Amino acid sequence: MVRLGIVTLVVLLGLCASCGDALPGQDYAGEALYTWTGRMYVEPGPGVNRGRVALSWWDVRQGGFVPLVTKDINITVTDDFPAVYTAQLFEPPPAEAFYTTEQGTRMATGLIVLYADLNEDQRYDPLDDRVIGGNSSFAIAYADGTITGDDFPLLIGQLDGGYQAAAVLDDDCPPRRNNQGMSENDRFVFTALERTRPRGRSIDLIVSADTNGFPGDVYTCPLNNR
Amino acid sequence: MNPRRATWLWWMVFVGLMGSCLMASDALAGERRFAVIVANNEGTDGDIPLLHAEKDARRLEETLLTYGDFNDEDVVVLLGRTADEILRSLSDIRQRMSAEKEAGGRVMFLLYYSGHADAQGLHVSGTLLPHEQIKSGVDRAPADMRIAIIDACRSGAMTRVKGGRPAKEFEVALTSPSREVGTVFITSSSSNEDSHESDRLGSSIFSHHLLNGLQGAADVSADGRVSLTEAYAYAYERTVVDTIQGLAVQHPTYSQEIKGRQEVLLTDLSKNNQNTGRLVVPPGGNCFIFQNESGRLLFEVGAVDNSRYLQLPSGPYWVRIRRSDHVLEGSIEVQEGRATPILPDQLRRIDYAELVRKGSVEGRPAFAIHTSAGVRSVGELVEGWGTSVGPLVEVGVDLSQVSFGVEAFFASTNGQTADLAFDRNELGLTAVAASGFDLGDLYVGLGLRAGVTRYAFDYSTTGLAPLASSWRPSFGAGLRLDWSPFARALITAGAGAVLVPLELEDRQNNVESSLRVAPSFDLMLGWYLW
Repeated sequence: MVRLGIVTLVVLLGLCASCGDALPGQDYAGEALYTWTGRMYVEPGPGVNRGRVALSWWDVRQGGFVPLVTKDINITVTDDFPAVYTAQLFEPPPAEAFYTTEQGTRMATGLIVLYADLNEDQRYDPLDDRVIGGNSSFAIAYADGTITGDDFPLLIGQLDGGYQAAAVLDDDCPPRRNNQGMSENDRFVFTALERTRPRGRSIDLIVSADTNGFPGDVYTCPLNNR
Repeated sequence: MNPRRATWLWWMVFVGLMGSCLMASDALAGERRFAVIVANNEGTDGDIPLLHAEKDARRLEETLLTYGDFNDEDVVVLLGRTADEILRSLSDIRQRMSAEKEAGGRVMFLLYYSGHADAQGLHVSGTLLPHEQIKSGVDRAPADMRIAIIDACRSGAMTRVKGGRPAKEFEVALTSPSREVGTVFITSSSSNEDSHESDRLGSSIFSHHLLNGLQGAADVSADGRVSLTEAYAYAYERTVVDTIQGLAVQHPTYSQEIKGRQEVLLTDLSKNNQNTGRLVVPPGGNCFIFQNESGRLLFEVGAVDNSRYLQLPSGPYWVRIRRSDHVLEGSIEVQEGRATPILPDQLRRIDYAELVRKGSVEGRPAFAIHTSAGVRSVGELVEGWGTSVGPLVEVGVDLSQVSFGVEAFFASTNGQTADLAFDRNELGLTAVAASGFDLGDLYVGLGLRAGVTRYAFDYSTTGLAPLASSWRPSFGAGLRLDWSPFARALITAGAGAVLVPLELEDRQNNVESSLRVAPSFDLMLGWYLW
């Protein structure tokens, strides 16, 4: 009787024991702060057949040649054609990515780029690696708080706290972009950002065979300069 | 009993004992001793066959011949006989005693019976031998000293003593004749009590202690001679103590009509008896003497017994001395004509847990309770989790074949995934079962564990990672080494594996069930509470 009682107790304990949250696996990263999807196109032509996806963070007020920081992001890609990717962000932008508006609110602006990791160090190196594609129609913006156009001249509308997608508007601002979203001089051109929801409008990534070397600078064309 | 009479009685006994010390030097000389030893394992219809009665009879024969100054031709052993056969043998031996008396010799007659009985008589091989016939046969025996020892249920009917009135000592009247004459009846139980055999003793309880006493355990005067008084007092006390603990209590009884100034001496152990030697027992603990390590119990000397020796046939014996928290055991050689002391330093010490695993020893329940505390280390169940190291406590019960216990384990550690760091608290409660064997002073066991463990994760991240906690079943198995360096102390080392079914979440927040195994190591210090 005693032996049966112990076995029964152990079985019951086992049955009752499995409850609670799932626990972190090897690559658990927490809750995604922001998720988006898109299609991935590869243009025909010579080019690298393997790339890494990153967010290249810029102070778009100033533009420039070198981003503030570029950091890989994690995506999953289906085997369909066209391939569909899903990107997730689990942390706010790196500290180096932030700049402060006139009202003192911190924000960051990221461009999605694909790059060839030529030195195979699993990170983007401006001098060694080569950008092979991306999307210049959308930016991933992050704000510590609410930002309006009064606070940030390049902004149309309002940005809320946290991550959001923003459309990059480029109207009549030389140099113009080609129809693939890349400038003739391999530039990303910012005229304005407007908050948008990519749901239903995916942020497509284009891998361009025409991209050659560093994409060039990010050119800012303020609205009031047009 | 009248207190004044009791005082007088004690004084009489004391004087009698003192007198026996002075006058017992040739007490066994000049006397021819006859014995009829009767034993029946089979009683009458309805009696469950006994196991040890006839064996006890043979042991008494050997004792009387070796130490009791009985001649071989004067001892008749009747095993499994009917009433008629027993009465015929009594008649035959009565004639031989008459012849001895007519020749001017002094005669002692001893009748011993071991077997079934009731208030009417002895149950002997399907026949009934009425108590009156036995008593008459003894009373009328042509002997100077007549002793009847009846080891049977309700044998007190022969002495017409009801249960509940303890009677230990004899009254010896210090009047002539100088040598004792008379009749003594000794029974193993009162008229309304059963007498019991013991498989542990391999004997009837009363006969075992009587024989023990005759070979020295009853020699309280330490003169090397065991008197009827000493033998009965010893057998009475040990029989009551043994039976009061579990079986229905059994009170031996006596009745006597004795005249004489001398003690009735039954055995003389002070002679240089051929092929025998003296085993001297140290104080402290009950001492048991076995045929061999796995053989039957032959003799015992109790912790509080005044006499600390036994006269035994020379040869090897296995000795076990039981003390409060350990046992000493080993082989002893009794040498002919010499006194052999048992030296505790020369015996192997067996401490608590190993003692329990040997099983029930001399009637003590075979289990021990211990508590232990120490540290446990469990390897990484998931990459990045880190090793869990923390305190472990256990409460366990050791039985003869298996040990059971309950463990509680706690660990607090930190680890990391590719993207974030976390603090992990782990609390486990498990039931344990182990079984194994003794290897010298070590116990080697195989243990199995089953229980539940609570895992709680607190993340460090600039992002969003809420607290996560989960109760998971856990299982384990491994080797266990127990060492009891002294008394009740216990040191345990264990090595094995822990198995936990986990639900793991990945970067995409997909949850996957996974069975994880990790090595575990324990080190504990413990103490036997009982």
